[in-house]
Amino acid sequence: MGAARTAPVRPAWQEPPRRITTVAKGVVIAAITLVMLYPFVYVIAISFSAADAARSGDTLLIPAEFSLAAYRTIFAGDVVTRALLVSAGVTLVGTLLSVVMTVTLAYGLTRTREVPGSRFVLYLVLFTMLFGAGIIPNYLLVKELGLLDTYASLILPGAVSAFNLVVVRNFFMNLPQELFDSARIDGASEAQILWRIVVPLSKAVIAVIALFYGVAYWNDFFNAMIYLNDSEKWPIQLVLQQYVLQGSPLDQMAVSGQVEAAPKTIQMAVVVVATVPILLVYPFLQRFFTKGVLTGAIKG
Amino acid sequence: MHRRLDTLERAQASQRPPRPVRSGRSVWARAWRQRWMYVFIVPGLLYFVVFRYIPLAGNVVAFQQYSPFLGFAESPWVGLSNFTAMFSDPEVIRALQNTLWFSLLQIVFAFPAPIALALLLNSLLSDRIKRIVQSVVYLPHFIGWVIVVSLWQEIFGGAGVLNRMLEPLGVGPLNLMADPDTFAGLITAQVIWKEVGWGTIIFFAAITMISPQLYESAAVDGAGPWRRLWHVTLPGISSVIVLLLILRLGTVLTVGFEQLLLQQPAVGADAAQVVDTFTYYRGVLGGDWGLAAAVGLVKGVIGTVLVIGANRLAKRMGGQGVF
Amino acid sequence: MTTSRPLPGGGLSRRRFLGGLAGLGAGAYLLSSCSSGGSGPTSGGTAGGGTGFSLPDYAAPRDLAGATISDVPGVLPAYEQFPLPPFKSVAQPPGRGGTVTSLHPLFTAPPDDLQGSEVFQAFQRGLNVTLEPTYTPIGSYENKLATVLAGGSIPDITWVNTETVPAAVSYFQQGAFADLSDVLGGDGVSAYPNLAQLPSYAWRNCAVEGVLYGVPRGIPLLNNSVALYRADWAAALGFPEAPADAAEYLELMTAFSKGAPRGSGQSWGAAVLDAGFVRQMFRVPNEWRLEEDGTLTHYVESDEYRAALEFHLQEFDAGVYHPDATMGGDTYTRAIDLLQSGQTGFYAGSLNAQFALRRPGTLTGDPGSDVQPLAPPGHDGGDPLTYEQRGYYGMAAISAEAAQDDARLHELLGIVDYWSAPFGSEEYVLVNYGLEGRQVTFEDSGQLVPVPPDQAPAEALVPYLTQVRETLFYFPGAQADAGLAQGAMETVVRSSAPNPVTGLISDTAIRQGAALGQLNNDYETGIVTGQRSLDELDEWRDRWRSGGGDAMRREFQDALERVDS
Repeated sequence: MGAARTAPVRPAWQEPPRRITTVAKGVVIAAITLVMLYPFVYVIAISFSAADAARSGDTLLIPAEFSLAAYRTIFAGDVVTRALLVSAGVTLVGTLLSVVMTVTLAYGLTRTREVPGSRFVLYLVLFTMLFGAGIIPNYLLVKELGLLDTYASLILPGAVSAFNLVVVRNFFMNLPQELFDSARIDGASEAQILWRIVVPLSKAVIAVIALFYGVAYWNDFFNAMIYLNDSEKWPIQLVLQQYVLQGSPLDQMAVSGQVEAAPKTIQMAVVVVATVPILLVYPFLQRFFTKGVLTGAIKG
Repeated sequence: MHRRLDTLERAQASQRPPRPVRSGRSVWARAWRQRWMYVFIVPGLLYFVVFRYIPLAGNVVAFQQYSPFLGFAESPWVGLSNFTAMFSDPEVIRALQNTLWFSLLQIVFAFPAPIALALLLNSLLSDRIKRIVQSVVYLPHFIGWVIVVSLWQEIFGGAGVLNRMLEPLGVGPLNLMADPDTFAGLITAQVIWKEVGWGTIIFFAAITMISPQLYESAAVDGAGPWRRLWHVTLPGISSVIVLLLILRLGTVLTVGFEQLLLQQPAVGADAAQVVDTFTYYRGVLGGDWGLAAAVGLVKGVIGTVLVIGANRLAKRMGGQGVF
Repeated sequence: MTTSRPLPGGGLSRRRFLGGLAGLGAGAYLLSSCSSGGSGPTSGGTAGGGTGFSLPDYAAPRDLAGATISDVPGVLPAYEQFPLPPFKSVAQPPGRGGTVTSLHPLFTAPPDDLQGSEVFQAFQRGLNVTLEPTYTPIGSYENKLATVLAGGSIPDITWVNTETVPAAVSYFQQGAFADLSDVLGGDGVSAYPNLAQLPSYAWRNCAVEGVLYGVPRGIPLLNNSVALYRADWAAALGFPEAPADAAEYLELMTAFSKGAPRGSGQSWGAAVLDAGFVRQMFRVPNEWRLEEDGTLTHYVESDEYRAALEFHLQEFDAGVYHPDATMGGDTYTRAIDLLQSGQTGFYAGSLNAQFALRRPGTLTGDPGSDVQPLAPPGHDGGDPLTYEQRGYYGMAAISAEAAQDDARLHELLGIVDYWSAPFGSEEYVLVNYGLEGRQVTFEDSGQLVPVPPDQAPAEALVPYLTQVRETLFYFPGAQADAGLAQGAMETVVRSSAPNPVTGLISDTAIRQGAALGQLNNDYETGIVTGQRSLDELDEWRDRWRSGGGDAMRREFQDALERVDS
């Protein structure tokens, strides 16, 4: 199957690529890929370097002196492991909830001319993109709702993003209208239309917002910092932020006679630990970006 | 029969200019017909009301000298003085100029970059290469600004890789990271590098919605790759482009706060002060919640005007707009 | 209209953003303390501008073997060994068995499971309370504190630093935290023997408008005067003695950059601008100078500062600075990295902590390295003007609500007393390091040796509050450094001066302070790096004056008159 994929599938109507175009594209894309990839390679290499080698600047592509010290420091104790689990749980549950709420609301707002009041709701949603509240009112709300120190406080305050909602709605509006008409003629309810027609045809955009939400939940540390008192509930980004933003405890803690391991290797290891899990999600979502979802739909 | 007519009408209505409201049927009757839609709307609406609108009331602090300990009720009211304090500060003009200049550069260069990249990748024949490249280009999005800035420094800084390579050539040293004259270009380049791949994702999704039949018939009509790009692909994703552009205009007064705060010391505030860093130094650092809220409100008003204007323009030009 | 405005300032929590700005001087005129009298730990008397409380009566520390108490006021004691076995400093557990909530800053990774930590359990037993600490990353402390106050449930004990959270001054004035002036002033402190040993300068400086709102965490009063330099490089480059004036200092720094001290590979004098060091060398005012006619001169306006800028320019032209010296971001890590990897020869950090960099093996790949303390010489060979600073880093404040009950207040202060256990006590070991056999070992030679972090159990330690570790010199494994550090401190204390407006509050400083600090930082960087010419100094001074400097001066001068009368 893999072998079959390697051969580019060119539709019959498409002319064979010109050699010069292919070469030009190849060069440009290779250059872009390199520029995007190299920093990550460098980050990984530093994270696996011995502290001295990282400081000296010898590590450029592969660790000048291989060491797991940075990872050992980060994974000492259960803190990071537990935080990774917390983040994974919050991201999974949060993304699911957010996607469902966004898709339903977006669909609910697609026919503003026919559904009285829905245009007003759309305005309400858009307004929140332009005007926001400070952290204190948000904190007071979460407190009043009894959500302080709960995982729900990491999910609910950001459950629906107006931006994602507008994007999804835009995709829904661009679906061919005939599909809906025929479904309604066949007596399908709106719920059935949403579930059987809109969602299957919008897999790509749903995958996109799932990714947006997932990454937002994964990367969030601010809500956790404000809403959680119990540091054992902290998600990974809040834990790891402590390694990156503070250079080293040396200055403040003044642990006389103790110097922590080189911050740079730890900082880079932090980047790796904080990003690799969420990066792994992308390939799974990528398969939804296949062209031509509408082909069969319209013919049928 | 009647039912069928009605659905057809409705379907056509969404593609036609609005007709005068059918006064024959009451709003309630129409709402009842669409009750399913309300089932979809209400949970989301509730969410927005509870989690977005209730806290919004906290913006009254823009008219207060707010202290968290005293609370909204006890903090003294100061009328419009937070707004006058903001507008009477000569620094705010410079901050506005810089903000608009950076925003303009980003809209002109950083906004179209993902579109170009998405189109380029889309033109690749090999699915496998396409997937690999896609997975690579979105990596920088995940690196925080603190790390991004230090990585750029290691390459473009005064002691960086670039200067070490230029040294034998007798050029330099160039300190691109600390030059106020090229600073706007620097931060735009950073934004492009960090976000271009991430930005492509949404356009890929849009491209999947274009029917291959359109390409086929265009090809049959003799359109080459460029013309197909121009007449099929771009129109196919144009509504997303317009949507994102309008939304971007709403945040025209917001440019990378952390990115600028980190790099400001080297080039100075004259080159790097933006509205958000101004608020940070004048408001946030002193715990001046009132000033910060006032700036937020002004930004919101300007964003609203721009969004409404752009939306109207988009509709006049035949597009769909946001709302 | 703005009388109770919160104080702004580029506090230490901003270090990650503001880098060099946070080090020395920035925001020093925003201090909320009250200054008067001497600077020694034993000086007593009244603190505060007119309305002051009596300073807590100072109790001298226990006489310990290997201790050197300096006779220069303000200099920290040095200890060459740890008394073994440690003595008990808290006779009775202060707690009554209930629950105590607290809010702490976090400078490191968050602690592991508290209930599973033997150290934390031992601490709770020692206190006889169930402690419920909340940890907050130092970078977000002001947000957390603001939300906690807005939410109305203030913890029993809260670490508050007006440098990190300038707005805290207004929280104090609005009554969020208990007024401890009467409880701890004078001989009131004798009920808490460990608190009575805290340095008087810390008590004096942490008072807000003459009112005491907390127990200070003491740090050296001159924390940013002594720097470090590579004496081995200097000797090899022909400088066997420390520089005695500005010219020699410049020669040395230039040699660090151009003399190829490491053989191959590029090296520099300093990783970041040595602004604080040079200003003290040129006797630039400690933020403000009180002239004989009663007017105030800001350092930006002084001739000394122009001279310091000219000197910086010479340094810059001589290539003393690392090319990224003016970059923001994590300047602290950068500076340490460059020193440790042998790329720079000069480092200016905080007094106590930087001595860790002298530990053998810290400078990588260079076993022969010799890092020595360096006090700023006077630029002309005379005395420098060294800067007295706040001398405390935050304080433990007691919730006003909890303090309404006298017995509860006594209990909570007893808990803070435990946290402030003096050097040599078993409580000191627990709150600063942990447990013997887990985090530390005692050696027969009379040393307390910390177990290396990678060999110690990963468990929660006692949260950061009022530990006294930074108010003394003790370097296990490098005992002699205590005397070295003390000697260096004696040198700089002799020529020190306080900031004359310490303890005075100016509305303009509150509102415009951070923005003016940014302006000064910009011009300084611009001039030193040649992006601006030195001629722009006049324009700079005008912008500073019209941007709030003159108003600030007027308000401070008025305040000075009020205090004098």
